[in-house]
Amino acid sequence: MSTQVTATCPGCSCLCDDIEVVIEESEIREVGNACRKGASLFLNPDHPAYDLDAAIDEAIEILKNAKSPAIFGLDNTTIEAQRIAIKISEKLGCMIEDYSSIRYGDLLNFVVSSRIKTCTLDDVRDRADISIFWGSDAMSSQPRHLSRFSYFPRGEHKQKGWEFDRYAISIDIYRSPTAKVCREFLKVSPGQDPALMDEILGILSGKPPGSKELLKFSNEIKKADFGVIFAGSGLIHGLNRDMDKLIWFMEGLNEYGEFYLIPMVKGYNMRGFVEMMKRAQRQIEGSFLRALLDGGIDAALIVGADPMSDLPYSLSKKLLDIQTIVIDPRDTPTTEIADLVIHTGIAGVDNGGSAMRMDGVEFELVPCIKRDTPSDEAVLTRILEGL
Amino acid sequence: MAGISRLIQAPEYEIKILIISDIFQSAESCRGRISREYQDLSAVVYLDKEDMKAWSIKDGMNVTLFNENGKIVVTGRSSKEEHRGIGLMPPSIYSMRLASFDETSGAIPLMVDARIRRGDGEVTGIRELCKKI
Repeated sequence: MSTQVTATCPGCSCLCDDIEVVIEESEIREVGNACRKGASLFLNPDHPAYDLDAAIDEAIEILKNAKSPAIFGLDNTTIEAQRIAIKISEKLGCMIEDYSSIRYGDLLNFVVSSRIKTCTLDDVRDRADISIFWGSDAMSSQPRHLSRFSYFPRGEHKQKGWEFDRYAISIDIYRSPTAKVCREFLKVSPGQDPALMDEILGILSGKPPGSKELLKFSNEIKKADFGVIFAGSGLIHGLNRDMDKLIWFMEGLNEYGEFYLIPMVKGYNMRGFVEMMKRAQRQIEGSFLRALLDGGIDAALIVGADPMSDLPYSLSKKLLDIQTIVIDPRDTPTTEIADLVIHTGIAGVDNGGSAMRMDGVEFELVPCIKRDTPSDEAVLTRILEGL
Repeated sequence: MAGISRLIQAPEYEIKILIISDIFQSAESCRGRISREYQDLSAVVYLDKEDMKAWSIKDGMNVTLFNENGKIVVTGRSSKEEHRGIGLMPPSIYSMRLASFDETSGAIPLMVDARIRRGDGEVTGIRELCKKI
């Protein structure tokens, strides 16, 4: 006999909560509504059983014996696990960092502290006239973003949808899959994003445009009552991490309509980690990458991350010089080189918890099937108790 | 001998490597990042068709990418889009062999300068690459 449940997908920072999962004989057989990435996640097989007690004891031993440990990753785990990880860092008096500042500079802190105006994806669906994908490729990283929120759906005040009510543009250095779907594509040369911002605000204030495309785009901005910039890491790199320039541009746009910014974060709960650090009144102290490079760390607790695949070789090779504990549902190059691997379940599939969507809205992740694989939260709680 | 092999080596060309997301590789990574399927989707550089013609690189041919950060053999694939002088690579242990770390800003630039040449060996498997550190 099969049963069907509705689940929330932790495949990306959209946290789609309309996933239909068909379960038969305690296994997931079918997944509906999910994107390619989400379906892949739900249909992931379980890990073979292992001695969890021994693994936790070893993790505690490594952390107790370390002179300068650090905690890294945490963008792909639940809010509950993030809170425990923050407590472990307080207990050990050690550094804790995720990928947010590495990939997005100060952007998330500026959004969380309201220095940059932001809105929810539900506001976007109901009200947005213009969606600007700047240095972000939703079709590859958050595949259902355009269909659920930013371009195709009918919203409360946007009943005519993308055909008449919405305008979407991609600004990027190459024609990405998102650029192919959007109505317009504006190509920007690497590092020329600040100059493009100058030109756009210049045209809006009456200066002659440099191209027909820019004139058209500027006219769409003028017509819009509600617009959103979906900022990706491409924009942050293009601005050379100059947040003042971004704030200046957002203020300029807001002279013509309501304009907001939503960071297109990659980890499904990166926003959650930044919020949890703020709530715990903690700041990122130092840089995990610099400490790794300088030999300032002798043990790392890595949660839901694969630095071997995400960090340049000059840094990742340093992981071999230190003791590494990896907590992750998957086999990755980092689990390959780790001293200790603790395989955990996937939140929303095997285990429960909660996470924060890219816009700061919190969602509950309810497990769809019963497996014995422990959650990140359960493992981290036992490590904290052992310390 | 080294001098002769240097002379018969394929010519090298300047290229910028842009690290981009790829939904197919990303979906495969949800199952793990060690499998052959994930490797095939990661050890790849998508090249502009005109660049491939100019550099005599055929679709599916192995190419060597290198810069001051490292050297890696990947499969060259023809891109559907035009991006002269730019090779697109998904984020993985392969592209990270070429990536750099900006110590001043703490950032990992998405675009790096490199050189490309035809052939020069087989694609190294992920497990083997982890051991080669």
